[in-house]
Amino acid sequence: MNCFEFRRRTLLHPREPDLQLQDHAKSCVPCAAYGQRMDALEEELQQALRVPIPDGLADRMLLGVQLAQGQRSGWLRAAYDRLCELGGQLREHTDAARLGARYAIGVALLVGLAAASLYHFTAREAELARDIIVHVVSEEPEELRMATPADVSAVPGILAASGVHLPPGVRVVHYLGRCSPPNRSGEHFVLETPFGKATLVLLPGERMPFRVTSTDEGLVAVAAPAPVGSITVVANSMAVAGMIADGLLASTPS
Amino acid sequence: MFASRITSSFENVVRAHSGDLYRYAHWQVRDRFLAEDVVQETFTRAWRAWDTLRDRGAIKSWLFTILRNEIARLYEPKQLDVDPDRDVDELLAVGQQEPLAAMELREAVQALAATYREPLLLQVLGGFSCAEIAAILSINEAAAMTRLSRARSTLRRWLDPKPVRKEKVT
Repeated sequence: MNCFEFRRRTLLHPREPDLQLQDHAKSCVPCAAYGQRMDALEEELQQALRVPIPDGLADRMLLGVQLAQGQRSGWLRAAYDRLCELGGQLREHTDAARLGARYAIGVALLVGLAAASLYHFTAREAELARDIIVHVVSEEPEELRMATPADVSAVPGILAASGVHLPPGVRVVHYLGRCSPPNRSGEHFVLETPFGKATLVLLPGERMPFRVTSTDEGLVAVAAPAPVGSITVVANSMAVAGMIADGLLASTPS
Repeated sequence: MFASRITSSFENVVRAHSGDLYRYAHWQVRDRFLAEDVVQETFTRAWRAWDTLRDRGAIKSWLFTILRNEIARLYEPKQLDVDPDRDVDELLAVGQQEPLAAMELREAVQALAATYREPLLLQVLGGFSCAEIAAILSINEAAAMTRLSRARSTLRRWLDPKPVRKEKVT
């Protein structure tokens, strides 16, 4: 390989592992220096091009596809609008709007601090939510594979008994029957939602004063008070778990 | 008629590729809100054609092709309103240690001719091979390779100019 070929191939693929390029660089000081400069430039280029991805982007894309198909359910539309707000979508391009956003962020931080203080007193409830995540990660795959299907005809009655209703676009794809997260007893469902799969655990014996969230193993659990006991929803993101919980607890039955 | 439900395979595709598609769109339309709009349209069209897709192994190339078509169809290239504060904020948000140097590089990438910028973005952000880039851009592979080389050569020349040779004093 000559120097011209080395530089031509380095411009094409600065970081491609290539024994020929490496061998040439070992024997040619100027080309070795050139290769190092191009490698450094490539590193800077990769960093510079990776602009931040808006929060909840994938969730909005999925929901937007659903909405584009004509599903104009009020719940889905409200969920999409909320996702856009969470993703920081500001449709105004004025300085005033940007300044307003910074004040809003400041207020949100103060509210967040207050919420964090409140969270300090909800350790038990947060531990419950985390236990559900661990149960989903460690037990659910095996239950889906091995468990005898529970009586699906009982599902509507079980949901209604807890005061929970499936919102439009959400359906039960698996009913795994009674489950036993540590020291508790609940009803375990796998849901299909516009945002993807989620797990619902009804805990009629677990009363909860307010909603808490917990994260573990890359999943998020939202535990919320229900008309009877509480529910916990496990999903890929806090926004999605929260919206599914909202939809389940909405007053109007589907 | 009820709309068909999104399949888990399509959901996985959206989650796997929405970030790269967004970044590519961001650099092409130079507006983050428009970038999200055009990526949304891309996935909407992709879902409508999902059942007709035969080669699931080429999904990423397919999505980028749709995205490019959407950008060409809907938007003229826009000059991004340069807001140095916003750029610095974005760079600091991703942990850049030298935000000013990164800004210079971003400006250089924006200043590249679209002919050179596109294949560079497809390679760096999309991870596509020269053959895949050629297919997406509907050019031959040799042309794709030439454009990539010229893109990097131009960036290097702008950002790392050769020192001025000193006059030899006799």
